[in-house]
Amino acid sequence: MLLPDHFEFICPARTASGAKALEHLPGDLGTLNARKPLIITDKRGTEKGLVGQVVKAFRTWGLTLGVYDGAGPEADMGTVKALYNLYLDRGFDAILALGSGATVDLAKVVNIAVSGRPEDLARCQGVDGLAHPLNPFGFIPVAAGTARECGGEVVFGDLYFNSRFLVPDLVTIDPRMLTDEDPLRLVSTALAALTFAAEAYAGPRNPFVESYAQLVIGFVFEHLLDEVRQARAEKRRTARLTEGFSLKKGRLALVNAACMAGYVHANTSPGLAARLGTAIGHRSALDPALAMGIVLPCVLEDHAHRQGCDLSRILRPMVGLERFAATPRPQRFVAAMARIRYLFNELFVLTEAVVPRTLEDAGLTRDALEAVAEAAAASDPAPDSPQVCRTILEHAFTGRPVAP
Amino acid sequence: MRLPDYYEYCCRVKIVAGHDALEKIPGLLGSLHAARPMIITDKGVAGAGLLEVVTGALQDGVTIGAVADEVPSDSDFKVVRQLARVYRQNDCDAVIAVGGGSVMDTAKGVNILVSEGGDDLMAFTGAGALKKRLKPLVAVPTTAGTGSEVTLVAVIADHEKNLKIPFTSYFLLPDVAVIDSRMTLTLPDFITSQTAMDALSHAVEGYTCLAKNPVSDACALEAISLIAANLLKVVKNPGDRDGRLALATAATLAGMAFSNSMVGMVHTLGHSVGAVCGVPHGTCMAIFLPYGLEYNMHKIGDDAGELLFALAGDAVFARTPRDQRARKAVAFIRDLNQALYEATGGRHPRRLGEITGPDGKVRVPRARLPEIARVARGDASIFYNPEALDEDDLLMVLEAAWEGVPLDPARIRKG
Repeated sequence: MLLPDHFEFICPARTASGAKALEHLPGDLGTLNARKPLIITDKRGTEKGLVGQVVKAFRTWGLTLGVYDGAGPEADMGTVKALYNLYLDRGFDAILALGSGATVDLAKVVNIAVSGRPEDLARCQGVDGLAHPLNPFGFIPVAAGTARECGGEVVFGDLYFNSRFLVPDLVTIDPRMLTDEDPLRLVSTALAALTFAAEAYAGPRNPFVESYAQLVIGFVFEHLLDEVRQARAEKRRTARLTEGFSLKKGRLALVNAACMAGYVHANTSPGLAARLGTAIGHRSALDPALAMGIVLPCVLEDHAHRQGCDLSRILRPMVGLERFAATPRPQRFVAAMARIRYLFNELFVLTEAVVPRTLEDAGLTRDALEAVAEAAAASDPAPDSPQVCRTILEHAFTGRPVAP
Repeated sequence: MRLPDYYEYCCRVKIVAGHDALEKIPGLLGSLHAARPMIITDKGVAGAGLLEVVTGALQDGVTIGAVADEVPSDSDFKVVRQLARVYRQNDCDAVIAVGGGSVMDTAKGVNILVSEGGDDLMAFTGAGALKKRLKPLVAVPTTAGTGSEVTLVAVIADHEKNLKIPFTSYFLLPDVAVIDSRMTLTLPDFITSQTAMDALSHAVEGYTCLAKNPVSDACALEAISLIAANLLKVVKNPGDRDGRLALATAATLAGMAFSNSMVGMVHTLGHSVGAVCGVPHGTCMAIFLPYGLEYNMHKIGDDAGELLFALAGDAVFARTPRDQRARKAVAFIRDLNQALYEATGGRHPRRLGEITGPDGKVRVPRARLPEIARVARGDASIFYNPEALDEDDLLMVLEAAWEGVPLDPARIRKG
């Protein structure tokens, strides 16, 4: 397959994943010339003993670190100012964000302020507004999140930043930090990751982006259903304690998928499924990540049929090399879309109808779709976009595939 | 998707690829706050007219502070010091390296001196010796093989002391790798084939050796697919710009794979034949690659089988019974070497015994194989090979590769 005339890629993060990954973190920070990191986390970070694990890993290196556990949805500019002062007054030289979503966004905003001047927060907003690399920044995930933590986009109150300098320098995925989660949050994370990765296939071909995207899709398809099944099993907690690490492999794979989806996100423009999902989230009670996943196959079908994109290779990470190769070429795309829908139907069964298969399941009305179509189309330059969005939403409403 | 119990992956280099990627350099330098680059290259690159292509692409965007085209074929302390002086005398603020592995290594060395100050490169050997970002470094590869544009290592020779000194640091990674199809468009067919086989060996060993991880696997398979689909086509039609871009992209992907997963015995043997007999690296890689797979096959059966998917395509993979895939992957590489031999009029050697020098003499005399095996035993890459090798094993592989016959399965160690 031909490569496009021009393509780019960057992933500034160093990923360390697996057993005792935390113990590598002090050394990895050292390679960035950082010795005194400030951990930014929320109350769960301290209450569940997660911070303690990090402190222990640093103790063997004789390094000290600071801990702030007041992150959360209520954090505001006052919090940023307090952390800015704390960082400078105590001589910290790096930030470790421990958590997900809003915690990571707060930590990134603080890093913008401490790496330059506080005024940068107003001055450097928007796409590519940051001109210099920031101070060393590490991210320690704790199971579920938004799948954007490893990306370059940050939304904090009214502030918006989008820069490759906001991709973490170090990503440390340690099974000890992957706390037990509500299975719905795992599903939400995995579906956001799946959407970012699958939509990367719909853009111009980029072998660097696709290397990561296929891993995201592969990990989600291989592990999501099993993880949800296990998380809902009655004796799950006991099983985890007795069977230990091996049971965490699925969780570890899903967190890897979420982090890699962030790298993909930082290298691609937001796709239509992501924009439709966000618009649905703004106008209903449905989790935007679930909405993205529901509309995803319809969006990909629209790309394939209306725009003539060959997306058949997206089946490969879903089923593995063996089954991909065994599927005749003309059947591959249809099989891939069927796999995504099967994933949703299984989640519907496993969660006893809590995860919806369609927008109708999710309680949306047909009337609401029009406003969603308008909102998603507003951010798309294509002239036929509102009509395209309407068609996709109409199909996702009932779960009907978009026909060629 | 195999997730190891633990893995690390890092490649911080920004990749900018395309048919007109060079024209992006002024903007890229601007975003790195540099405007007066020094270009480091070698006589071969300059002689092939590539330097003019680069300077032409830069002329409207930046002021070129200096151009140095005297990098030797193995980078050297003296040259590094001399080029650092040129950089300083001309008030440059960035380095653009245009060339193959030696140019890249030299440029990395120069960047150490001009960023850290002084003339003493030895002060910056060893882990952790470099502690801060260096000056902006833009790498423009011209061989589609080594992957040096995405590696954090520079090997620089101190010819006075007869030593090769490795430098390793994340700060040595170029800021940007610019992959432009024009840079390889004029490569002769046999250099194209050998450098691409170097990249293929990076990808294949990256996929099969002990430090593999999911990201290096994904990059490796992409690289192998691109090489297998384009190499012979490009050798037969050197002006194929799309094929050139595919091969150059594959070399970078392979560099990303092997620099994170390490390489094994194909490189062990290749380094040693290079050191003892001065054979070009790519030639050695092409010859030893099938032997590496054969020797390790009992340890890497499924992985080697998966290589067939990337090498021969999904249709061949699907029709080949699982237990035959690994052997078919080896056969595919041997057939590719044979096809390249024919397409280059015999200048792409298939076995050690048929490599000749400019004087027409055999370059690797059979009598020197024991010496090569001894040198190979001390090469660090041997530790990442799936199956162990002692001197006898190395010699057994060398003998087979000299004659160009498959390994005798009965003589392969099964540890």
